[in-house]
Amino acid sequence: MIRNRILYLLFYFSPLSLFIISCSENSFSPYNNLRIGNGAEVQDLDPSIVSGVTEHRVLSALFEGLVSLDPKTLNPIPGVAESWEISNNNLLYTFKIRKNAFWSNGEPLTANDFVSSWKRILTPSLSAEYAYLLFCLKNAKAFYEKKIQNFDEVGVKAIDDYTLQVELEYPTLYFLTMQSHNIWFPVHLPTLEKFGDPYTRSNKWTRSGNHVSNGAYRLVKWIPNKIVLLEKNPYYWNKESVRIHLLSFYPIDNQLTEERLFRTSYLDLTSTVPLKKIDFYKNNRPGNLLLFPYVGVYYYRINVTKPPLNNPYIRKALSLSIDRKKITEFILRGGEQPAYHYVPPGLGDYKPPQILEYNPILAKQLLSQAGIPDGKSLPPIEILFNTSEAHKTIAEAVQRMWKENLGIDVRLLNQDWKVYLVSMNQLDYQVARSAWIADFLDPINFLECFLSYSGNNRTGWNNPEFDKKIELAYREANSQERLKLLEEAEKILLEELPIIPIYFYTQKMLISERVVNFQPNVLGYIRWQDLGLR
Amino acid sequence: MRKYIVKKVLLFIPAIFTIITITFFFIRLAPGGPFDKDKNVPPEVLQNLERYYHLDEPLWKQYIRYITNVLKLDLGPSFRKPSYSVREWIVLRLPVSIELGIYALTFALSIGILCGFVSALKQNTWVSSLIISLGIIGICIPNFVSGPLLALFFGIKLDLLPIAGWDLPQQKILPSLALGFIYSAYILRIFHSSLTEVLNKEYIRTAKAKGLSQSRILIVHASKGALQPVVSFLGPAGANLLTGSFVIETIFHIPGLGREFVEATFNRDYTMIMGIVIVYAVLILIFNLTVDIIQGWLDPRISYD
Amino acid sequence: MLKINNKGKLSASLIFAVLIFSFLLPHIMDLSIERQDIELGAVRPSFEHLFGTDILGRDLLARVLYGIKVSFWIGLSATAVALIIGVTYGCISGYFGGWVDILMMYIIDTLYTIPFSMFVVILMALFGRNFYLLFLAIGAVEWLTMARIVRGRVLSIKQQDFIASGKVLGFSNTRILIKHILPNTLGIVIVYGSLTIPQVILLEAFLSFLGLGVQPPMCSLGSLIREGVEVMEEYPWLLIIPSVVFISILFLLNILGDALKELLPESKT
Repeated sequence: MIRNRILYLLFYFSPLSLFIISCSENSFSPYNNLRIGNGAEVQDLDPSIVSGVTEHRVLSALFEGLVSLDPKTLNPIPGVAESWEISNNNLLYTFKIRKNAFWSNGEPLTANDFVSSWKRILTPSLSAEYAYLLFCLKNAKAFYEKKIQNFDEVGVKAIDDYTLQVELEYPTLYFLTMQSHNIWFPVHLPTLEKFGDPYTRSNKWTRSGNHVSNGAYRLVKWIPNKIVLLEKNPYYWNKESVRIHLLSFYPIDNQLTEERLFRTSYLDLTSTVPLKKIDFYKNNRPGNLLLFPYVGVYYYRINVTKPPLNNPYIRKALSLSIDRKKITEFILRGGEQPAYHYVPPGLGDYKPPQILEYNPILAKQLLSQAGIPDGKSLPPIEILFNTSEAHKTIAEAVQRMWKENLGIDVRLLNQDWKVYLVSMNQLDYQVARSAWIADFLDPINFLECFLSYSGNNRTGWNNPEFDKKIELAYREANSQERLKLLEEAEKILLEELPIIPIYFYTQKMLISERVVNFQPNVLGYIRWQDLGLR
Repeated sequence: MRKYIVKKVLLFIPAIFTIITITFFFIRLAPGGPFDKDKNVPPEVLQNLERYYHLDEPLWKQYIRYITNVLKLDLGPSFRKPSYSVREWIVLRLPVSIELGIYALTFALSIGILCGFVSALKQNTWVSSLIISLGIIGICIPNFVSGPLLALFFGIKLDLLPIAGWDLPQQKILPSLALGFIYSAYILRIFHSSLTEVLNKEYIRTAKAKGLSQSRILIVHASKGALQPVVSFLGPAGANLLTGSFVIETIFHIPGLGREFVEATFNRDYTMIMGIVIVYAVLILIFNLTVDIIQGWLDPRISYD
Repeated sequence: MLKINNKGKLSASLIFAVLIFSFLLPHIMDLSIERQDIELGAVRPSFEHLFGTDILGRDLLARVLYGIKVSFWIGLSATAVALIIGVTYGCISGYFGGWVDILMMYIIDTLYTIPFSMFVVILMALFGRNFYLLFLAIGAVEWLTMARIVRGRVLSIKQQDFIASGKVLGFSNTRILIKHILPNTLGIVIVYGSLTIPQVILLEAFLSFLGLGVQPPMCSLGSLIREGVEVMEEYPWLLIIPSVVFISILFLLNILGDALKELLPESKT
């Protein structure tokens, strides 16, 4: 500490300091300030345009949707809406907006704000990338595609200032929980109009000083690449429950740097933990390490259109010869679970069929059944992954397992992210590393990726039986029946194996002892207003 | 002299035009576009996005549109940062890179020249051999090794200096050292050899014969001539410092333009890439011109025809 | 070549010895860069694993030796590419002089201003699948300096009498270039070539830092260092050993290059 100060003084009187006197405010001051490592820089602070874990963390502090989530159970709890009613056919939702809901500039928040915000998203000129998430509203897709011109036909209506009625296109059992996604948050249209055309993307309303929000916090300043600083919103309806005065989000995309900053007490909460630091914290500072399941699955995608992998026996053999436990225990070491099925555990009552296993002897037999007595006679198989040390290590391990257990030669190929995406979309690969993180807590979110016409399929696999089960599940109103259909669909998927699940993610974080009341959950969702600082 | 500068500046224009043209078409060769995502975006949404940024037009039309906008000093909107224009974003980040570059260059020059002097002063002693060997080792240590090592040693083991950020003076020490390190080694080598060469020249010997002290000879008489190769090295070095700083910017989490550039390339943020390339090109051209002029001042024999 | 100084001789023989080792040792000691022992994980250098092992339990000595081979291979071939382009370009530019020269040098100056990292990133994106194109990409970047140097040399050769007499005798330009000018640039080309090799090795390591280097499980010294940087606190040997090897090799190459440089007539005056 003293050394630090001496150096500081030395530096301060050196000629170099002439350049830098401007910024002497210590932005890492810990006083009543939660300092959060937030991975990458936020793209923007407009909840209707951006989407991503990084942005969601900030936006969920700035804004509040109709309903919020209980961080423990992940069940909907009142947000801007103090109560709601659902019709018997699950198509009509009526929300009562609370009368004490205000914008951060003191103006009252009404049902109309939701209507205008959602209309903005569905206006094609805005080109909101995530507009499709709103397509579950009645006629929303038709409006977006300009098939209908009148927004009154879209399923969202303000009955009066404090009553919002939402009509859905089809029963969407997860409609309420979905409201925690920032695309559903309201924006203050008068503010947007003040800073440009609200229906273009270049509006300046998200800058420091311009921003207006309705959540527990409001924007103090956003200095790109440095900090997003939020303070308690004095107009928030539940401001008494907000305990921490300031939230500082630092965009730190280098995991090692982030971890170092945490270790040197410049951060209270990190976005992740570098793979190789987990052991250090497990052994030395277990109180700072948070590892908990996360609804995401890491898997290998297989291009089933090209031989030899169009042969399901070979795919099965490949799956049987991956020792998933070895990967999770010795390489990942962050409490990840080996994936013997596709849909991660923790999604309510859904019981995924556990049919995958590690069995190299059976794998070898299957290979001979497929007419290949020895893997050496197969041409080399190539595993594609996007550039990253972690993916590389796993690929190298799998490469070795396939070689040892089946005798198959495996080549590895890493491509930069965009090239990798193009290769997958054009089915220009054999085996590719992939992952899926839940958008919302429902198994269908995982399974619908493999509908034959889904843009997320990217394997060339199609199975009419599978498609039928998923389509039936979309319309099924009985939740038990629906889960059964989904379980059957997953079973088909796991028997044909267009993908090889490898492990289920964990959320990894470092958290300081100062932070109290932190509630881990499978979504990685943090309700900032509940947190406290010691 | 003035004529020379005007001529050079006029030559900037076709050069920059060529760079814009090459880059514009070159970056579009790389697979993948700015809106390709892990989670599939429905085609109707994608169409809207492409229309919004005029990516649906034929390439030549986009090119003409871009050139016209650049002439109006408009570098377009960023694809990644919806509410920012490329110009605004560059204005935010360029000063940081320049500041880092200035510190690194100052460090490199002072260490390089100082060590050069010392080694020339102690010619043919162990001090000089040591410095020269260190110089060679220095140019063999890339900044992605020296950067983390400095961070590990001074930031963590000794807990002397912070290892990330760009707000406080003490945050700027390690990155400047890490970035300047390899250049100090280069400058040392160049300065040492030119200094030894100059020291063997006639007029220096005369000065020695007159009984002037060794250090006075070095500083007053020899250095002006000997600095010339160092100055000509500064041209490419300055350019490298500027464009190559992103490794250091990444390691020490500094919001400079170098890191933005690499990110933009990986994200296929076309307008951002173009904007940064143009800014870099202009800066490098100006830098080289300045170096030319300083060289003329150091050596009046160079003519500017 | 014969008059090369002792430092140069020593470093040349050391480089040679290192190369021999990297080819022979894996066979003698039965080392494999692929053999894993995941349960063993990363262990310190010991008698069993002289350089220790990495996180997948692979022998670091084997990987370092392999990395040396790869780094040299890249260094030599990319330098060759740079030489071919640079010498051709420089000869033409210097020999024809006048407008051709001005234009060609202007192009080089312009290319110098394109940030090379972008250039390489895009090249890698385009040709990522092909290991050999990596050399081409690096060579295609490194030729600029070579072209400048060769041009300077050609300009001075051109002034000499035998070129003028060749012209008087009516030799074709191509013949003069190949028979008379090219051999005279050889010295400088070898010297700068030898100085380009360490630069290319450095560049490859830099690409590996971006994750754009060789494809695993192959490794180069650069990619080993990158892996080491990420675990330097827990498993420091994974950073330190490849770094020391890398720095030593570059050191030897630079000493050799310097020694060769002293042989050039220009540096003697």
